[in-house]
Amino acid sequence: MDRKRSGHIISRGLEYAITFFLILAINFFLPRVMPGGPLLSITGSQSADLPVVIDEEMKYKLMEYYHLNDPLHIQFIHYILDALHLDFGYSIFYNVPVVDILIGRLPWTILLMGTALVFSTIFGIIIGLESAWKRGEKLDHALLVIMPFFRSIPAFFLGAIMIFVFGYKTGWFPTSGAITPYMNYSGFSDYALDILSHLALPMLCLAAFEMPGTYLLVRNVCVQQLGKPYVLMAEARGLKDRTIKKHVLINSIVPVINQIAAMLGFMVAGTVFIETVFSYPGMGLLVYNSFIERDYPVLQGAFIFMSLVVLACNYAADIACSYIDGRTGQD
Amino acid sequence: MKLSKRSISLFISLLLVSTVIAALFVPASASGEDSTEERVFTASWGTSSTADWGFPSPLTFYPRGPGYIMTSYCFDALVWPEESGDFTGLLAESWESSDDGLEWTFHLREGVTWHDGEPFTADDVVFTMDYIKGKASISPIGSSWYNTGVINSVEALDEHTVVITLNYPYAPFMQQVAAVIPIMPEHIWEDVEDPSKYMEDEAAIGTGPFILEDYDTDQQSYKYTANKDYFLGEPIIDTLIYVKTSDVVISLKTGEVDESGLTLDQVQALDESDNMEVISGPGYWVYRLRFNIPSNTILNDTTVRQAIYYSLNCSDIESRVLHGGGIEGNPGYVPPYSSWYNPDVTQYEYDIEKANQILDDAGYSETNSDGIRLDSEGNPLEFQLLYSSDQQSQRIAELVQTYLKEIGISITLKPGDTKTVDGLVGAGNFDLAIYSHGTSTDPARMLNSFPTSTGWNNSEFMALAEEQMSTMDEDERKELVDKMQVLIADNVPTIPLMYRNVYSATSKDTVTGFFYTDGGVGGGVPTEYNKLVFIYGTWNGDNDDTAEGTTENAASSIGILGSVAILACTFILIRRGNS
Repeated sequence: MDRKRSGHIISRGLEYAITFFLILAINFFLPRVMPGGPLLSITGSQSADLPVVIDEEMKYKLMEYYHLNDPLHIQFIHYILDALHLDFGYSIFYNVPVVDILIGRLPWTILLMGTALVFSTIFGIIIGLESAWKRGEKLDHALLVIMPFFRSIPAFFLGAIMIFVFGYKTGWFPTSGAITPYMNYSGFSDYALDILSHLALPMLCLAAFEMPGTYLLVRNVCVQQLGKPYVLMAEARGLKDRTIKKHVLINSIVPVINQIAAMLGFMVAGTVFIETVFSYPGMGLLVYNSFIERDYPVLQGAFIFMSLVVLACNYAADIACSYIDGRTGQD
Repeated sequence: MKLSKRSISLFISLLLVSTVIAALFVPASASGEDSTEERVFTASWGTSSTADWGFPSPLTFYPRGPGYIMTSYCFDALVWPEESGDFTGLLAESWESSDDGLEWTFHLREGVTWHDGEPFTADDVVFTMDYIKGKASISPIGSSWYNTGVINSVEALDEHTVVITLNYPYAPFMQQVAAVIPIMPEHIWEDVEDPSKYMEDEAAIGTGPFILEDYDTDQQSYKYTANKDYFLGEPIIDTLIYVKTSDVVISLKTGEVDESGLTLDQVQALDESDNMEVISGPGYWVYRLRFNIPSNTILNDTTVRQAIYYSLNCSDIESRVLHGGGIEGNPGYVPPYSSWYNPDVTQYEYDIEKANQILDDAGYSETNSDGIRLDSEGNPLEFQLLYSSDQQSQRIAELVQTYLKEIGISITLKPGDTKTVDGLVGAGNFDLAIYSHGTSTDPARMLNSFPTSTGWNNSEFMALAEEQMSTMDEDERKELVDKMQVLIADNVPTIPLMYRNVYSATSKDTVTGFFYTDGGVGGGVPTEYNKLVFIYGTWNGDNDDTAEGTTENAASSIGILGSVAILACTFILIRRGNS
């Protein structure tokens, strides 16, 4: 059985490796088929403040400088080799190595996504279980209406409302950024508080967007479990509600873990909107700006970083599930 | 009984949590007091998608207006425009030119030092001009932002006199060269091979009124401290901060920023209690209709373009899109607030009948069942209109579509993001496009680029363009520029729909004295951030940063307390349901 499991883990690992390579390839070709090259953003465009006149010789030199002259397949080979060395080149917009930008931005996104994920998972499970327990009752009905509602509000709209209510009207939270720029901190606790107060709104916004999914899944799986003989048996034996719930939850956890892992991808997309609304300096905002500027190297680097995170989490979930549930590895 | 026990435990845990949090913020409010005396001014570039304009050094900033402004705080040019657009001396105290306009002599200010204490001399000026010229091919900024192409040679006569010799007489020399090129310290840059990658702390050392303390590309913020030894006098503030905000109006109202550029709609969202001083100025920002000349055979016909012009009510478009935050377009392209404006050009007053008549005469009198005109081969006059999907362009495109329908021209709307539009237009893959961009203030930049920016090639226009650039006599030059505008209005290579004004709001408790420079700064950037504001403006008492800091801390603590309480309540509710 252990052998089977490690076999499963290895084969899944291979699948993830292939997926990653495909992502690398898509990453390379996608921005290149979009109209409007990266040179437009440095050599001036309609959106520039001043029309910038650039001659052909200059353009050629720039193309050469950024290796835009080579045939596509040569560019691709260079790109794969560099990516393996974590070298994503030089940003055209920011004019610094891409890795430096990514390393500066990644922690903020991990903080935002991580806290939102923990928050939405814990509450999604608690509320979902409760809703299933009280299935058919008023609370359950109310939750079944309220939860999908949160999911259906566009994240940027919810964000704008939050900024208005909790940022402006009440003044409880700062409305943008991840820290107060150039504030004099008296100590670490002060610094932590500043970060937390900036984190609160975007985190809640992202969590509100993610929680309904977890909630619905937990509720549905638990409702199925609750009808099973072992629950009736436990009830008949007069076990405490809490003990029964614990068993139900353990028996429902595998699909929940898988769902959370699968949700990460959507969460990445969600952060693009939420970080943009709150000007939160993470990968999402970076991707948004880089897209506007057609900054290929940054876009590619960011996508690869994010893909790696998502794939790694999915892989971890796979492994976790194979440990929790013996059947996973046997299919 | 059971319930009350729970309530007590909830109460105690809340109390515990709040004590911990209170302990967290108490030292914070105490520490704020150190900065009572500091005059901190926080500004924002408004609603652009980014607030990162690159490292503020002459060859590394992001080559758009804001990037140059951020650099101009650290670096000085030889001269600089005042509010009136007249030049005041920065590094040069006085200057004169030879009669043929080929030789410019600058007498430099004495006793100026760089931020690191080294003395500034004529050699630095010589070095800068040669260096930028030499490195132009490496940095896109060098070639596009600094017009070193007109410079033949630069020579230091003595420690404080520099002579710049031009290749040919260049009328906009002062505005486009002397008032733009930032003078760099030779002792720092002499060994720098690749300036586009040189972003050490020293790279921001200049002679300017502010010293760069921090540039944070992640938070998209800049921090400058005042150069107390600045030769024009000490700046009126101690610290200048630029930040990115998610909503400028809210940030202004909450005091997160003291000043920001705004649109008219945003200005209207402010009210009297906000205690703001609002200024407005010429934006030199045009919204125009672009034609695919010469590829589209129908639109290549001047009379068709004229008919389209007659069919558009530009003042209506302005009021519906900018709500009075701009002025309608001028057929001669130069906006009326420019000193180069020529009012005596062909006007295209909104006149549907005339438009229809012109199209009938041009051979498009047949229409199909939808009322769309047909060309000689029986195909309907149907064009794609490309536009970037921002709100204004979207609205303009819809209005243009409605107006053209009136004269039997069918328009298919084709939105895309800015870069997509640029890309498609660049590839010639379009019929019509809505463009919006800055236009510069000097005719050499505003008009001479017409052939590239419209696809319209007119030899008479080109000859005038060449000539006005090297005409040193102001009146003669004006005459030539007038003629250029007449040609534009007659040929309609593009239709200027409207020009957008620019607005800025400043908290009255901080700095007053902001203005829009006539002709713009840095070669024509229409901005309220002329660095002279921070020298000659007024600081109005303190905006009490201490109090602000404390409130903010307290506020965020309340917020956190609030959310903890909400969480606790949810938890309790659920627990209650449990039993």
